[in-house]
Amino acid sequence: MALVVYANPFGLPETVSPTLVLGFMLLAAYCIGFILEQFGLPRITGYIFAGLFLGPYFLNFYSNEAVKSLGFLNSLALAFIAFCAGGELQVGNLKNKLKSILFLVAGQTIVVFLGVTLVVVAISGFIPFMQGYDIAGKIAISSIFGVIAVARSPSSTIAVISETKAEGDYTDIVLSVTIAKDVVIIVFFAVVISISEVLLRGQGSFSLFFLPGLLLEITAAFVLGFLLGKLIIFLIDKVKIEFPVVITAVGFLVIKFSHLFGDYLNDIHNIHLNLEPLLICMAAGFTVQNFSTYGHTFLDRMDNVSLPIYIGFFAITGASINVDFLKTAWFLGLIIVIVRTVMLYAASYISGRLSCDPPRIYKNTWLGFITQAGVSLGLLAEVARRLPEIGIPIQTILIAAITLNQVIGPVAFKYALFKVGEAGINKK
Amino acid sequence: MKLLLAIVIILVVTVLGSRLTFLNRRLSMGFRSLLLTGTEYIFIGVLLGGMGLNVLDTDAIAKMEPFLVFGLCWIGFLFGLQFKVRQLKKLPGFYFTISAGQALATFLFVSAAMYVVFQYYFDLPETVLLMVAVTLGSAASCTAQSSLGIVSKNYRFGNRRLLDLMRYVSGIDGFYALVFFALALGILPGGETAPFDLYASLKWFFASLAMGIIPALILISLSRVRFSSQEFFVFLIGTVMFCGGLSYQIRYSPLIAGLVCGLVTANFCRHHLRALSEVLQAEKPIYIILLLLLGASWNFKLGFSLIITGVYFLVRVLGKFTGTFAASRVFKPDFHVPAGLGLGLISEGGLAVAIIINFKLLYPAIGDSLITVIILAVFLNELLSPWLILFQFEKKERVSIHTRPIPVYNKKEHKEKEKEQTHGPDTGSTEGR
Repeated sequence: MALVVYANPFGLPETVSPTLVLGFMLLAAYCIGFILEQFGLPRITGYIFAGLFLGPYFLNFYSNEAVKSLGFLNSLALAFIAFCAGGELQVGNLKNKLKSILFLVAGQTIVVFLGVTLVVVAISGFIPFMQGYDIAGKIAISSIFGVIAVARSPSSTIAVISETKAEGDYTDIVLSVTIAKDVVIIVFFAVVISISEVLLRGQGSFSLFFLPGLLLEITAAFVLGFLLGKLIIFLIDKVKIEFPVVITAVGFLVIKFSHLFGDYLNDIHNIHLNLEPLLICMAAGFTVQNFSTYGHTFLDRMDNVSLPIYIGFFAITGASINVDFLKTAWFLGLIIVIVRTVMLYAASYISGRLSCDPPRIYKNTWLGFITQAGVSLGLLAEVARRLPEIGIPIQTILIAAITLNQVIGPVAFKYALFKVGEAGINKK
Repeated sequence: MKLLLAIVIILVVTVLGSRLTFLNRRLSMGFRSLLLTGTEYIFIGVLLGGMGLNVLDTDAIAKMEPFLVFGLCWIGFLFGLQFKVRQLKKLPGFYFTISAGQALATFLFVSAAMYVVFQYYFDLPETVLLMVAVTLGSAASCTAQSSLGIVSKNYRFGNRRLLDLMRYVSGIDGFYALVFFALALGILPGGETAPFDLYASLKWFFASLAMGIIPALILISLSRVRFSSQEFFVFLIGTVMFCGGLSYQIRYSPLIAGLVCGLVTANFCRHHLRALSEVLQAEKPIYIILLLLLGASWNFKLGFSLIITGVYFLVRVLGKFTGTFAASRVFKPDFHVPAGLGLGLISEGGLAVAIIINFKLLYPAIGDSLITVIILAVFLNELLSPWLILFQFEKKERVSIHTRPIPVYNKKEHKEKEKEQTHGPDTGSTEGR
């Protein structure tokens, strides 16, 4: 690869073919993941490192453009991961853990949000772009930091669980809370960003009229997910070998069509209705698992092809990390990471005690919630779109924090799974 | 939006198609030779492409390029995987010699005829004409197994060894076709505007070998460590993508690089059979997508292309006939071989299509004119070939399953017999080839 890229003995085009980049990424990321595993680190950390170090900021085997040309794979992988995440949720397993899950979701959302917001308000005097704002403005900006700190990464959770073959109460709780928080964060973010807009711009008045719309979006996503799940149940019998490919492609189409549908309603009819595609896919997976007898078949077949998808997805994620951002804002990012982690620990500990979880669980749950990835980055993009005046500096700091979490999170979660003794149980 | 629609349609057609086509289902021969040989996807492609609904327009097809590279390399890899020397040595030598004889004769006949015909119709440099003619010659030299599949599902034959001979000849000659195709591409490796340069051709040849050998060595090294089936799947996909992407990056052929990679893997990797079974699973969908894309990129113009197709078809039949006749007389098998055996080998399908798609990928401007020739020839050959295969067997040697019921003594035994008759001792795949 180095010969082709650096020496270019054939005097050929400078843009590297996406097929070559992906093939190289798959093999190289697999090898690096395998090597890191020998040192007790999770493979996905290896995949992320491979993407990062072979990419545009270090060895430069492929450019930013080459990575962008593989962007469609992110949609494919996210759809796949969302299906798997939904499929992993079994109502039967969750019933007796419902109390713990609810306490954790509420506790983490409140504590992490308040903790990060207050710390950012407290240090706002040292953050250059916040200095020109009054206290209301500072609270508004800080609350955006707070809400994004609440977001988690279902993809990493699923990948680590799949890699370690973990099964048990701890695994179920972490996975369920992660997915539930994915739903909560969408609603919570919508509320916070609307309030922040009013506070920052000082015009108009805050209204809660957007809430019914938001509820409609979420309900529509669940209904569509249920229908999609029914379609998948129908397909399980009809499509055998190509099943994962078909399902992933269906998920990809759901993602693309829901974006197109949202744009169409917005542009033509001026209606702001965004169907959340990942919720649709998760609901579909959940439907297959809980409204049919094909739950295990579904997960088994998806599992057969999951590895290349995870490797590709995390290697691309690593390659997309903007090291320039990291260089300029690593210190502030680090502060956010530390505060968020402390808050996660506090929230998980308190929630666990309140819901009477065994100590092995409530002492370790925080380790399962550190990773941040796609959802957080998606929310940041929305911040930049709605609040362009502060979008770039917020993005710079939070991307640095998310990058750090992305690297630390899987290691912590794998460690926790081994510590609670749930790794390697699910031999299937 | 258009691309999404195209993806949906391709997906539906591929999934339904791999269920319906190339199946072991017994359908009447006329119906199958008309509809379910794989040629129908070319016409679905035409319907979706620029000549039809324009859903798969030039832009959408261009965006499918990474898939094409991957698909072509996958096909080459699959082909190479089936050539394990130790296994092939166990087969009678005349399989190879007859196969080589008919492939070489067809290649020479078609290349020469096309070279002459092209001089009248194309205003291109001699070397370019030679390259295009040799490419068509290579596509002509291979034989698809789809028609043999149709016939063997509808008839039981007394002379089973003849049927086996036809199966092996058509299974092996694809290898020669790819070697001829490599020759064609080696003529002008620097692109159609560069002059012929022996050094460049030799460099191309060795680089092509390297493009296949390096990924194969990576696959072999990776599979030395203990791995799960998921991990092996990653090795395969990664290797084929890397191999195809690497060769395409430097404007070499993903098909040839895949072939070399497959050959090395088949002969030096302990897990080659596992690789073969994994790779075979994706064969049908990949062929279907290639056929769809071929149809979609067809830009048919009445006129000289019909004449070229006519000449191509006739000369190909002549080449097959002469080559097989001569080879089967020189390297005599120990059973009766009819004089017109070559006529039973005119079926043309997947590999010829792959060769032309690969050529178009590297030389888009010239490739267009070859698509018409191949599409029409494939259709014509697939239509006639089942009947010409039947013609090789004397009437008393063949029994139609539709006219005489087969006595069933034991269901399991019968199924096994039927399976053996349907698949025969094939080299691995493939009806679509």
